[in-house]
Amino acid sequence: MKVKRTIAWKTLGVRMLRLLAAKLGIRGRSTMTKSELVRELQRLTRTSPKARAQALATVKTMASQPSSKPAPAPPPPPPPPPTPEQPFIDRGKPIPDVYGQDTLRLLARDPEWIFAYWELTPERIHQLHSRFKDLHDRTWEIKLTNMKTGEVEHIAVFLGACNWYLHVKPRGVYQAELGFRDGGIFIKVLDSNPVRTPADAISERADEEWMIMRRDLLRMLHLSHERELFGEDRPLASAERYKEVTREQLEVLRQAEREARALGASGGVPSSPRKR
Amino acid sequence: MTHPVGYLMLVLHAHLPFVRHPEYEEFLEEDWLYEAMLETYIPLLEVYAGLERDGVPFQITMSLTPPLCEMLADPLLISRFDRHLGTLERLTHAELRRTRHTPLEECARFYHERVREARRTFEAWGRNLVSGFRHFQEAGVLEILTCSGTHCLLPLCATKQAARAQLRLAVRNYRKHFGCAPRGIWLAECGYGDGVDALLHEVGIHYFFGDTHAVLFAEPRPRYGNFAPVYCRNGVAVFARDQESSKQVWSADVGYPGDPDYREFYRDIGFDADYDYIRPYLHKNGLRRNLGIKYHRITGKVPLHEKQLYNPHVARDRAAEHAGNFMFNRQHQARYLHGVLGRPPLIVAPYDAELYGHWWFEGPWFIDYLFRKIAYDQTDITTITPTRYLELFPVNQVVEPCPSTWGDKGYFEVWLNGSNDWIYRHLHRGEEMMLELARTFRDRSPLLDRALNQAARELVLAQASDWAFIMTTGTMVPYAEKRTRDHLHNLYGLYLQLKENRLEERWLAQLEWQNNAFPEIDYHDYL
Repeated sequence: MKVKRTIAWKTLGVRMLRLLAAKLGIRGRSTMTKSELVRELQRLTRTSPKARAQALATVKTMASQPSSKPAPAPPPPPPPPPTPEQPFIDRGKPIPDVYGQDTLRLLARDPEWIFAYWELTPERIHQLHSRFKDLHDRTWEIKLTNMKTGEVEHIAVFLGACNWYLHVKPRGVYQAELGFRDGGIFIKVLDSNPVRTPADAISERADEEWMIMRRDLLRMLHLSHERELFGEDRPLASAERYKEVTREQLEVLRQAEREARALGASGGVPSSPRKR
Repeated sequence: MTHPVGYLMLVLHAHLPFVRHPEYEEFLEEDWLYEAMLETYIPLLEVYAGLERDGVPFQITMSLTPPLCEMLADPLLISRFDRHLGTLERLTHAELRRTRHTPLEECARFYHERVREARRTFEAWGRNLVSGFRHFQEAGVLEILTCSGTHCLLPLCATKQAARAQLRLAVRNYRKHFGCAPRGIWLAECGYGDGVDALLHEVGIHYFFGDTHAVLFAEPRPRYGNFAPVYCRNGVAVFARDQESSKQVWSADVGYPGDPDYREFYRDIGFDADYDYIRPYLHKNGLRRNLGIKYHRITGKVPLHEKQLYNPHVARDRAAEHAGNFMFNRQHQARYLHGVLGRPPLIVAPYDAELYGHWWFEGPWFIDYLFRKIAYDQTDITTITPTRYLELFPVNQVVEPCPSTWGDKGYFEVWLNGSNDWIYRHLHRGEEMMLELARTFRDRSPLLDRALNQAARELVLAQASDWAFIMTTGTMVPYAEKRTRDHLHNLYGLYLQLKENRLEERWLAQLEWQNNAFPEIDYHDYL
């Protein structure tokens, strides 16, 4: 299992990236786009451990300032008092800020991003305080595991943000743990649900499976079933209509057989999934 | 009967969030409903009636979501629509006088006649448009889909039970309005995620619609791309959207609705006319608002004050031309695909119903011409509904669809981003509260049952994807925030009162009066 500590570059804002670029002395940074900045920073931190340590330290100090949250939850603003200049805008009745439940939940947003939110109760913090000192000064991290590949990533987060966007890969199954470091050891505090990230391209798997639904098969075989053919409220159908429907149904059956044969299904049409 | 080269499945998704405010005499957001009724639902019913009268064979599929059905059948909202229609009758009558001997005169006469026609249609269906749609379903030309409850984006639910409860509510609501069980569903925002198919199977739904890549990116790769439905392992079928036919109508640049001869949406008499003249037709607060009488055409990329006058007859001809062009393109597409696939392709063309008529004023004419042309001017393509298609082609490939939506970028970002991600922790906690309440207080007393059902009602109303969507688009955001918070506040209040054994019956009764949708809701769905 591969373990590494990384910076989720794409979650950082352009200002933050420029600041990092300035710290590491990257030239031409003021005219670079976000993706160019990310590329340069990634290149530099991969090649130079010193630059990498400096970048991590900067991210950590910045992360402890609330302004660096990538996507802060807007706090529910209290309804402003009505004044003659500004009409009262009703933004709804109050809802709780916290629910008193330890929670870490993931939602897959797209093939590359997972949204995580959490709540850590004062009781839990208190409990941790009895074992670990300076909880708030520690680097909090999300340990993200791709259950499919076993790949593990540690992402530094700001505990007070209560949510974070995590950069991931398509077609992965991810699970997260929220925790902090104690003497180099990751201490897990919360566990998340697993989520699967969607695909972003056509599958490479081309093995095919075909089926016919049992209800269709039954309908085709039981042509004399009046209710099925004509509906419950209709009077007994005329002989003309009956013949017409029968003809239609036989055509459907023949069509289904032709299709099934063309697709390689032999003999009777299967009523359950069937491998070719 | 000769077999067509391909099939066209036109799907209109009709939906509005539940906007009913009995606590106010007039409410701006309720206008969404009245505008959609007048500009989309009534004109569509008129198109179907015309096709039926003339014996034109056609097949169309529509979703009518539970909140929309509830509103269309609600006595209070019906009486308010009646009032709205009355206002427009007076206004269009006054317009006849005001525009006499001016270039606007002909257009004013057109609106006057149109509002009268809408009144006739409204009355003809007993003032309940649901009964109109039901008629066409029973006549075999329209297949009506249900939707994921209150238009809930199921993959963003935290618990399986809450997602299933939305579906059970949808099925029950459909039975109430249409007298039978739904066969298919329009998942809100085409939102598919892992496990959704299993829940659909559980509630007896046979098929759903996904965006193109729900099928195209499926595992394994689909043999016919998105031009044939596929089955999930449990036999629930998936129909996927065709990109090309979507683009021709949806696209802001190349789409038909942007034609210079079509009506300009943003020049409305409610904003253009002299204030003193228009004041009697506005709400009591006197704020200018759209009234649906618009005298200008799109003209081109010019400022609003340079827009030219609208001519409905020219626009109608243009709609006929566009219908011809759309059909021609589908014929070509079908012939080409038939050659490549060796099977008649199915072209699935879904749109928001409100695009037709409300946003694209000439849309219903386009649909009318399209069906007539398909019936008489060619033999390559035939219109079809999902059930009929599955009867004809019951053998289909089995795949695992890809989680997706039809929103911008194709996944969940529209409903999960910096502007709206704060709602999910509250919604998810709401689900858990509802599960706990149902478990703890089930079948204790009629009063507690009422409280539990109201709690469920508040939860499902908060779960509508519309609120997150509005927060992303940035217009009317305070209303979306208000609706999210109000319903969650009510749910939390009921939760605390039940837990602390101090249920206030008067407050409960007030909530039941205010948010009265879905009398058939059943909290047992959360067990």
